[in-house]
Amino acid sequence: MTKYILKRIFYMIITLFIVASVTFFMMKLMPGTPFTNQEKLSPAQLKIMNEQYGLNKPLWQQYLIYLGNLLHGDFGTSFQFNNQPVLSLIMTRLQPSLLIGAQAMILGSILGILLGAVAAMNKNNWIDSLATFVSIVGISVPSFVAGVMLQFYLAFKWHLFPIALWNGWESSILPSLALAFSPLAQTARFMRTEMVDVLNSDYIELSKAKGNTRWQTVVKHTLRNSLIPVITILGPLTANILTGSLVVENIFSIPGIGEQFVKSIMTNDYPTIMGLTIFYSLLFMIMLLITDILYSLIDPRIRLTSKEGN
Amino acid sequence: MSQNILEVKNLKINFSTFAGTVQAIRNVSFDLRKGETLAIVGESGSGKSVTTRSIMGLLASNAQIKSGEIKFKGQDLLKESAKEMDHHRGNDISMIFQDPMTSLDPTMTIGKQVAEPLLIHGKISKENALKRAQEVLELVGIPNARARMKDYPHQFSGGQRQRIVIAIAIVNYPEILIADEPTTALDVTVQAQIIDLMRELQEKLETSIIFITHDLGVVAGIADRVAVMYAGKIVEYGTVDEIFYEPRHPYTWGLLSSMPTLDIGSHKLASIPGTPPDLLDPPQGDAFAARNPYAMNIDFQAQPPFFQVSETHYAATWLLHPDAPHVDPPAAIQRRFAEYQKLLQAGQVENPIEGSLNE
Amino acid sequence: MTDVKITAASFQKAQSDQSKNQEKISAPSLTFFQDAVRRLRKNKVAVVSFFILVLIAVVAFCAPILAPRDPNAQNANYANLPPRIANTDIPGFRGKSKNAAGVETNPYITNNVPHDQTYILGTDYLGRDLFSRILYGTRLSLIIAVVATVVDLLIGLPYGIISGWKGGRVDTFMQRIIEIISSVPNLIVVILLLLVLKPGLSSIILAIAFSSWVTMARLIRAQTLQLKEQEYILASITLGESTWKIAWKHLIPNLSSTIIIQTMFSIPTAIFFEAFLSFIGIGIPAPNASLGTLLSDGQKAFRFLPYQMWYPAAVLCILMIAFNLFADGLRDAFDPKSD
Repeated sequence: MTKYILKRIFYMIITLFIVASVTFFMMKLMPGTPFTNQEKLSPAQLKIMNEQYGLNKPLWQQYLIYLGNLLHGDFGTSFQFNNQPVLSLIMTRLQPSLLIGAQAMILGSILGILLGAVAAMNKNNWIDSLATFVSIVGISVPSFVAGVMLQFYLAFKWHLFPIALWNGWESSILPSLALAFSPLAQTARFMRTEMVDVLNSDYIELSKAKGNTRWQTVVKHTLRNSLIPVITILGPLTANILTGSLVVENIFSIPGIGEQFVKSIMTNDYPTIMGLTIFYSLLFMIMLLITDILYSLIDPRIRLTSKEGN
Repeated sequence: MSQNILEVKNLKINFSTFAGTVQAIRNVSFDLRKGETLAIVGESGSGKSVTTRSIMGLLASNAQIKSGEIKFKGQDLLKESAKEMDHHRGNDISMIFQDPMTSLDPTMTIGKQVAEPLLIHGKISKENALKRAQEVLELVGIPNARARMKDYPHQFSGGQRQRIVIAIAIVNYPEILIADEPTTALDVTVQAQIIDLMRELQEKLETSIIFITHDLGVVAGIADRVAVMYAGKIVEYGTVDEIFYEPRHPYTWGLLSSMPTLDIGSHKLASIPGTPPDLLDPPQGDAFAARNPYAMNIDFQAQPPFFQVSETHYAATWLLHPDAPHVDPPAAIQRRFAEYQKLLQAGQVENPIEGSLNE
Repeated sequence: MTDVKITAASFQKAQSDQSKNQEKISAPSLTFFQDAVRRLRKNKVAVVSFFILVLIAVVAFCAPILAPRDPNAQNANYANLPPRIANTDIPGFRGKSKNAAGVETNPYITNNVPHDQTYILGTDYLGRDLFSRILYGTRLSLIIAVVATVVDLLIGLPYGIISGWKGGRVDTFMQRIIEIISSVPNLIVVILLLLVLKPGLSSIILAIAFSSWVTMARLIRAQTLQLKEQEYILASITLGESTWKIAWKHLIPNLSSTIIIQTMFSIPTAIFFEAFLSFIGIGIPAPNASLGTLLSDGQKAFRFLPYQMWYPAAVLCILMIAFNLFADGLRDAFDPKSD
């Protein structure tokens, strides 16, 4: 188990290195310089700027410096945004994003599990059809459409929530709801499929034959066995919420890392784009690793060995 | 005196499907005596599993019981509430399923699973339940049971898992044990072990067993009496010797002729041509008529009643009608008749008429 | 027991012809595809979704014929006109809107629009006809999604087959590449690619295809690994058939249901990606309309002119829902055990 985790972490580092390198060279291929968006600079000023950021050095030197800095946790300095170091820029904006993301994840997966379970237990009747329709709508309606709708009705028309801006927990509710849609739908679909499988299995029949009531069977045997595989979609859900946050934070003007990422794209702020890409990949890979470890801890059939990592 | 612990009378069960109503059980009656093993034999779809599931109250939701009664110690189970049925299941009546690989909860330790029926029926504390579970696991032959209580199903072989399933079934000393093809999914050598185990347990616990199978070879080893089912009906029943050596129904003949035996020599193994009838629209006459090489006109017109062969042996075929012509059964069956006579004369089998069971 | 009269004839041996036709198979035999199509047709939801999709596609591709105006023609005088059908009085199409103060106004009167002019879905902030833009926008979004999915298939299918078929080191190496790509969330990959490539239609298609072929390749590989062990494939290998022939004759036909189902799920994902990219401002460059750019424009004025977002959003959602429902139906039809 420890060996497996160490191996996974080793692969993670290699992957991060490759991701960092690829993004670095991609950014160098990008048209436009980071300074084109700013007010006109004279050639002399540009030269000073380029020197200041090391952009006049040969590409391979820039690359090595970049990698070296990464090892020290230095993601470089943002070209925009008051020349802050990228890392501290990310850190200051992390809290709202984490809050919204975590709320969306918890809300989405819990409601999704409930919806999926209710659908499976009422398989093929109208409750099931309704639940299936809700999850299809949840998968089909993009989070930015859902976000704008929520904003328009709940905040603008009915004044139930603040429209935008970051004013504490209250302002996190609508964006969390908007982000929760898609995880909810995905979890519900997955849960339904798993639970239908479990309900059809022989051990559920045996549980009834033992004299368990319908509800005892659900609690003792059905739920756990159908919930275990649901852990595996934690990874995809994370990716979902990460990317959803790019638009949702924009719609609700939340000072989070998603909004920052979009801003950086608009202003060709390479170091921030690279920093956030690496940050997102790291977060995503950590979630995948946690998922696998959780899965092996909960499901007695799965034992992680370094061989399975292949 | 033989004492009937279970009496099934005129049971009719339909299934409503998209294609229409399937008449899965068409007037089935039988009884089970205390301490005996009744084998119900038939090919898949003949209704043997549906019959036992109706005893357990575990029919699928699209099943309707049209008529009949299932009396357990004189009480009609079909009239009982869901709560009362929960009380019977796993307590008075328990069941063993076909596939041991899938009938155990993969994420629960086997100790807990075996102890579960004890706890459900509220007889003892958790500690005592686990202790009892360990005893039962030892009884069914799980080596090193104490240590293995904490293991999960995937850590056991197929045969061991079926032993665990049996342990779950017997942990509450049920009066009736229903075994639904308990050996079908197992290797032949393991099959024999499981049959031996069940016979041994029956002697110790004095449980009545309903043993469902499509494999006549298995029946010979365990059953006291046999009921042959075809297309939702029982077509012949009698003691195991009567069914094996003196079968009267052409379907039983077909089944026995298609069973390989050691003395079959160079004879070709027979098969029953055709397929069972569509129970969406069962035939007006004998359901077996279309596949029956001995079919007479009346077989297509009317369903045969049961004709008595001996005190314990009945068969539903028009061939037994006093007006019916005499037919010669297939050669393999005739050899069985002859062998039976020999055995009778040598005193190696009891005469079924004298030897009615448990009297 | 029965009402049948028992006579001597009753016990005569039945005519043998009654037992002759027992081996007859009553249902006609269907190929796997015919069977799947038959199951699909029974699924009402899938059939309705299919017809909605066909309808949307036909209407979108007839945009040049159906659109009343040039989708990119600006008319500053007619900016932000609400929906109106001339000479009718249908609620929602009266050309009235509320301004920031909540007072109902009629921009058609304030802007002196001739009263026989119909802007069935209104105009946007540059005075472009929204209906025409939605028609063209849907067409563009569909083209992007379908082409991206075809490209995705062209990369993913051979990649998956080669990886699964070759096995060993080749497979390990190819899987490592996939692992690295998929360790970055999909949309981030698309965004990075779009930053590097020149903005435009083909870049978007490439970027979307590049991020989604991984899923296709994974599924195809898994399926190929299974098929490789099948007896009929082993038989072909034993008979010395070339790998190409085996791939063409055995693998692809047997992979076809996976391919069809996955393709149907890829298209709505691609539609979503395009909308997403255009929404954050790095998708289809102005002035061309796609569902994403329409949503992005609409969102800016959504509070006071909600129709500008409502209509494109409705088209996008209906399209996505129909695709997902149809894909679900296809999966159930091709994979009956998942039911």
